[in-house]
Amino acid sequence: MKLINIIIFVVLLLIVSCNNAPNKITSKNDYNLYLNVDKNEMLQLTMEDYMFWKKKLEKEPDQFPYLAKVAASQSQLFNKTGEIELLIKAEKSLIKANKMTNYSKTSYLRSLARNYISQHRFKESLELLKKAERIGENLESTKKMLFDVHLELGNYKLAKSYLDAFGNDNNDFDYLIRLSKWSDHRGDLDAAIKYMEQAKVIAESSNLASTKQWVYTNLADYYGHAGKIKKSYNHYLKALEIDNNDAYAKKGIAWIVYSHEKNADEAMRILNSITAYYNAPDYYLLKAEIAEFKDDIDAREAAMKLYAEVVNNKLYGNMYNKYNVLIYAENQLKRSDALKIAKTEIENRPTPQSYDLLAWTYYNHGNVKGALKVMENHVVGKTFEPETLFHLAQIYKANGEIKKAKNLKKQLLESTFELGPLMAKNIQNI
Amino acid sequence: MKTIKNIKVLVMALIASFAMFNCSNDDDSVHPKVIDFSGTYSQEDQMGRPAVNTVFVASTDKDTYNVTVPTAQNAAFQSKFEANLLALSPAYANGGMNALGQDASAFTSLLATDVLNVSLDGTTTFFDGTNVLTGRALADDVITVELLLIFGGEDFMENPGLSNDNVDANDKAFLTSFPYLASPW
Amino acid sequence: MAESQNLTNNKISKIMKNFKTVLGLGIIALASFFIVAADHIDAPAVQGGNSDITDFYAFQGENTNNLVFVANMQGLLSPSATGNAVFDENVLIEINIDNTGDNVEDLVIQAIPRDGKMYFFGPTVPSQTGLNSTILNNSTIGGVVDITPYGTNAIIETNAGMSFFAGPRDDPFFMDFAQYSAIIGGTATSFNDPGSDTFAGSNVMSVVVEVPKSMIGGSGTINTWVESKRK
Repeated sequence: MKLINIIIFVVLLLIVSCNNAPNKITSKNDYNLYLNVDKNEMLQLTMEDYMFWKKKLEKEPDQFPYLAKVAASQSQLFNKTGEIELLIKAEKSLIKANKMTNYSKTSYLRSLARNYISQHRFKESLELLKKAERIGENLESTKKMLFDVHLELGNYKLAKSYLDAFGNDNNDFDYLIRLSKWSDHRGDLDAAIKYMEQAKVIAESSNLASTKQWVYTNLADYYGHAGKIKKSYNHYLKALEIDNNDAYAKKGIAWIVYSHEKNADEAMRILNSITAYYNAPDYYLLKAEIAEFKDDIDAREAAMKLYAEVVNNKLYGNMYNKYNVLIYAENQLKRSDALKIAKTEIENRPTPQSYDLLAWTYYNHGNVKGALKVMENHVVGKTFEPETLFHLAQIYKANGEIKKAKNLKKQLLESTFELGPLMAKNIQNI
Repeated sequence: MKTIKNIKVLVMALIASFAMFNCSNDDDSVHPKVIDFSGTYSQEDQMGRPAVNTVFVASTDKDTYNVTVPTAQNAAFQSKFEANLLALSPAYANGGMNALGQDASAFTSLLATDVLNVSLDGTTTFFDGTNVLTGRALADDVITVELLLIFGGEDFMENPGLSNDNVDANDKAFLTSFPYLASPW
Repeated sequence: MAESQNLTNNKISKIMKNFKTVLGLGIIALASFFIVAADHIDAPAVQGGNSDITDFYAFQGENTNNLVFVANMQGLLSPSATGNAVFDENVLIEINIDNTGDNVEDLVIQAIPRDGKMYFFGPTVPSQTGLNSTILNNSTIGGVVDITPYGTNAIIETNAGMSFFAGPRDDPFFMDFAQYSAIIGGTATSFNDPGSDTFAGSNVMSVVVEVPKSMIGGSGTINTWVESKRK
């Protein structure tokens, strides 16, 4: 072989090796071993932990620390299975523990506040945290959660003032993840990633499994937002390495397989492996979307029906309001429901996202002027979430503001991975 | 011929490494772990005697107390401890004392500086009937000792309902040898 | 022909649209995954719990020439939770020894976990006293021990007359914590008899170190306390 041939060969090799199937990022070999886990050891241990404290509590009901332990294992079980009953049971346990200690223990107040955040009961959460703030003990932890809740409630100035008071400590994991969250809220995704990566360094040097798992999945989300899909995928895998049953990480991979690689069947296979042990209503929605992508109307209908049944459980409270508005808004029979829930959401947390739900409802009901007014007053320039921007673009278009709609279209085309292929089609039509 | 072969190898190697560098994505390679002991470690919690923090430090003061060095604790907290003690225990009313002959002020002066006093010359115990505050052994019923000092008055006889929690021993036998603590459940 | 074809198409699409609308099967996708992502970012429980010291002991060893220090963290671990309990590698456990009676540490013993092992440095003079510490890994005195995994026999290392242990143990503390809290909180006026040991049957993460008394002053009285410090 002549040298020139070698070089050509090698250059070709290089090109091939770097460009082989640019769309294919995932490989079954990477994650298959996590899909057929017949023994969920972590779940088993958490179950036993729960039984241990439950028995002790039954024997000695005055020992309130056992109530806190019972609540902690109930919350963990909720996280591992998605069963809403467990989150509500944890709430009941924590209310009891707080009553027995006269609402004087800040750690119990914070635990209940956290439970309420999970339930999207942000105002109640805020009241508990304010109480904890007045008591003082572990004030820093309380203030960090106050930041979280104020951000959820749309009290951005207050949230920012708490954040600033943490004092710029780049060795503080809890500070960095909040700085990251704040940066994301402001639409500065690069900064959000930077701070989350700094938090990752701390998590790794702490070497605490649950902290690492949390930071990996959150980084994976951010990488996904930024279109760094390979990185996103790798971080979901890292989380799965720590916890083979991390439903969230598997769902992230399913999304990549579906949205980026357009392999609906494989995505569905992954989702089905999750729902064997983890169930939350939004999984049905994802299945419905994938079914629609496959033009399988029957499967879509079946999944939507299941969603409707499951989410009907009163225990979910306000947790799925957002999804419900989006679904009901397009359903003529559910018009008043959509409007009612959108207004509830605004009442619960007057954020740009909540107002977007109202605007989107108006739009779907043919009130395009009203929709635009809500958007202009409460949404425009206040959020950078692609989904909201998509709604805004549609509403601009319906109001004849074609130029503004086209501008958003450009932006949205960069977010097609995170919005999914169906949405991508709709963006093209703007 | 040989040169070409060498160049071949060289080019292949170069390209291979380039290809790896270029394509292996952004993700961290596996480094051999070097033990890193660098950095400054800042205090979050401290403890000397058992339960002092729980009983005497007000919730609003706990965070501060945990990061106040022992030499500064007395000045910062003794008077608060004394007020708490008087509010909590009737035994110190009207100049009442504990079995160590301390009035409220003397006792809280001892407690406010949260260090454990330990003898290097013999028996180490929180209180064994003879020796007082010469250490803390695993089997010491420290809570009852503290309750006696808080509520028991001069002769350990006052407020009997408050001066013993009636849990007198651990639920698993300690070891006579290192590491002394019983194996986990 | 063309006209009627169009009509049919329109009709079909209209029917389809109604059908979809009735079922809530709109053409607008829900972007399900990343809606949840926004919720997912809910922060985990704020750290700090894993640096809380639950207990501190100091007593004469089986060999009466030695003194034993015990520092415990992470109380109320059930047996099934114990196997997954670990030391936070960003948290330094520092035993302070004052042997001159001024309540300022003259010597420290540091314990810092790294990848399954607990490294001990000291007793030695700290580079600075007070709230901030650096790890004294240049100290010639010290040792290292594998952190004992749950369910195995205690792993003990010795070096220069010192002994080292780190890992889960039965919580040696006993107390009716609930009733005590009720009394302190003013909601109860006396203890129960018998009381109930809140910590019965539960485990802690322990660090145990035994040192020759000669290393920490030899005789007299020392003042000692333990600190947890985070990087």
